[in-house]
Amino acid sequence: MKKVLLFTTIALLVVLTFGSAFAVELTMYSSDESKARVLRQVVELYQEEHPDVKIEVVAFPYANYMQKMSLVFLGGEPPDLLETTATYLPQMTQFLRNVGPDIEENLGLSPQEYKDSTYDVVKVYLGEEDIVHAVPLHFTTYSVWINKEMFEKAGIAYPPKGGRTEPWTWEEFKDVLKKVKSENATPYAMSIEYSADKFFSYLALWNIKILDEEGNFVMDQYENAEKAINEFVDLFKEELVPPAEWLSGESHTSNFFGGITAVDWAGSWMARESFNAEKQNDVAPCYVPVIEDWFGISGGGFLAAPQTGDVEKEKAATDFVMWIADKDKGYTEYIKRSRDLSAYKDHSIDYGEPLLDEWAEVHQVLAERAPAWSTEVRATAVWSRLTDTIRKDLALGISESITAQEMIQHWKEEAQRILSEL
Amino acid sequence: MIKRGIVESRFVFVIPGFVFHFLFYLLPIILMIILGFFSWDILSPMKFVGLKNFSDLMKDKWFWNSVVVSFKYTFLAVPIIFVISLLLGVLLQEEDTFSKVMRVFFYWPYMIPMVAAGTMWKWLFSRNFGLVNHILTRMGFQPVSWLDDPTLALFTVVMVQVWVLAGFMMMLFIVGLQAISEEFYEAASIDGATNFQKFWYITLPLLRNTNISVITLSIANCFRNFTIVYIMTTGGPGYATTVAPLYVYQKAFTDFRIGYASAGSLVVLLITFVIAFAVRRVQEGGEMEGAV
Repeated sequence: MKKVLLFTTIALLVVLTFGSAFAVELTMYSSDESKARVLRQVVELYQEEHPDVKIEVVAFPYANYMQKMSLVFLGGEPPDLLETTATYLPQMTQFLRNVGPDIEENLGLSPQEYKDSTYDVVKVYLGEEDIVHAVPLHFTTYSVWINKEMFEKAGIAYPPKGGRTEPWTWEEFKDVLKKVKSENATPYAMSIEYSADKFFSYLALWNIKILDEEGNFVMDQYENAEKAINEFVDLFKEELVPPAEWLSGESHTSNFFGGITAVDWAGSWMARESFNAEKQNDVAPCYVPVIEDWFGISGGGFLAAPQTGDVEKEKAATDFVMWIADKDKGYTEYIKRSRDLSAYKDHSIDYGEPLLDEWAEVHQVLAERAPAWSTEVRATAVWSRLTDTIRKDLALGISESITAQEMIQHWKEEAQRILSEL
Repeated sequence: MIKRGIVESRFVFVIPGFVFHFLFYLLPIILMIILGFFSWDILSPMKFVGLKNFSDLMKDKWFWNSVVVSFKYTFLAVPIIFVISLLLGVLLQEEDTFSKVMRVFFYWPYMIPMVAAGTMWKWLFSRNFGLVNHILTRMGFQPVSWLDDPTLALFTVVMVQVWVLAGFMMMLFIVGLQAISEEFYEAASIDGATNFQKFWYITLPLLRNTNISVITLSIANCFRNFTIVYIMTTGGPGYATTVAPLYVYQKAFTDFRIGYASAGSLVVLLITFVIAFAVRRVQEGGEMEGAV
């Protein structure tokens, strides 16, 4: 009897100690540490319900993410799960599992029905016909964020919730920047992250396309293309935007939350950043200025399961993806923690934070105004590969090394070369 | 029979070294040369393009700019490293406690991982948040665009390179200085030589081999430098600090042009061979003079 008891106790101890060793271990790559933090929280919830699965979330710097992913795909060592943005997803689709059949099995929706339940600007990234490369994590839209205290000190009203309903015109916006800078004695007025997407979001307000929806270069067909580029570069030359943000990679969020600038040309993800920085009561989103039009270009984050060849891990990874895809399970938990906007139509979120509800209204208006081309162009592989050339050339323009005309010519050559290689 | 066995067994001992060098030196170079004739973006199949990559490279003004930047970087850094490390070597060659402690202090930057060093200096030189500009503004000066100004950015990165390497080169000089016999200096003192004359006519000539080693190693480290530039400026502003290794890296892993980057790597390798050959000729010339 004693021997039986001893054996049972030892067996129980072994199982409890090493039971986790029999769990399926998955690795998830994330393109950003702040998103990775949220994913880890959500993974913890998932693991409570599924103790037979262990998921490690590894974050990489966003700027180098595509390089990292290219190398892991090339080396045949992809992660079991990956989070990525709209910018990078088009280049990765050939390596991702088609989860369309899993959606049918788990959510009871056909792939097309599932995709139709998301916003159009998200749907365009998910795949053609019955293919679903990835499920959306969140939906983002561009906006302008302001420091409320600095704007109050300068006596400037801001749209839509700060004493003004209509967006500024471009000339009014530049005057606002000059005034807020001088009244607050800050070295600069506005931050813009060193990113081709930021430039795209500005250029789109001129109704200027760099590429068409097939990836063909069309920017040289617009008469005011050079003027638009010069206006952008002038913001740096007039010291309204810190040149260091585009010339030496200085952080736009550090400058904005640190009081160096009063405005940040960013987007809805700043909600998460402001809470992380504990500055949520100091900032507010505004409408972008109107040039030829005004809207916020949209994007998003996605979760996918790469093809790894390991059947057990692929199954476990797909199960997690399906849990996230389900609005009644993981998805709402993720959105509430990330403080991002939901990618699904008719999906209201109770964030438990009145500020987030207020901010969501602003972004809703900006997103609804966005034309379809502003997303379709950026969903092409050509755009995905052209971004680095664009931002480098703009940095050259800011340091007065090349002209707007030379930039347009170079982008045309690069776009044609990329198109010929694809 | 025994003699023949000894003659044959030598090849057995060479095999491990040969295999190592083949796998980690020769084979990558051979593959790099082959890749230079293909167009490949990692994500799609390779496509043979013949000499197109090389002909495009010849017309690529930013590639040649990066070669020029590499030369500027190297020939700005090497003399400064040489002078500072020699000076430190002369000052700290004694075996007293103070010298030993200071040697550790100056050698320490060489021990820091380059990524950590680059990150630290990037923050120190930050236009709006850096400690250097904070001190300058406290002293009443205007903040300096250390990493934003195209001319100043290269100089700033060079200074960090000097900070990293000077301590290591100092140690080479100390070894060389300590090998010089005191008798030379005693004889010079008897003849009434000043300190400067002793340094110029005794120390420097007898340090010739050390000088060449320091210069060779400095050129090699500076010309192939990647990490410090990548971390501090990523080659910016614009292409002002884009050195050749960084340009090739960006072509490969940002633009996904592996074949083109391989062609660029080959050209950089050939340039490096030319420099190494030139330095070797200078060294041989010095040895001939010494022999005479």
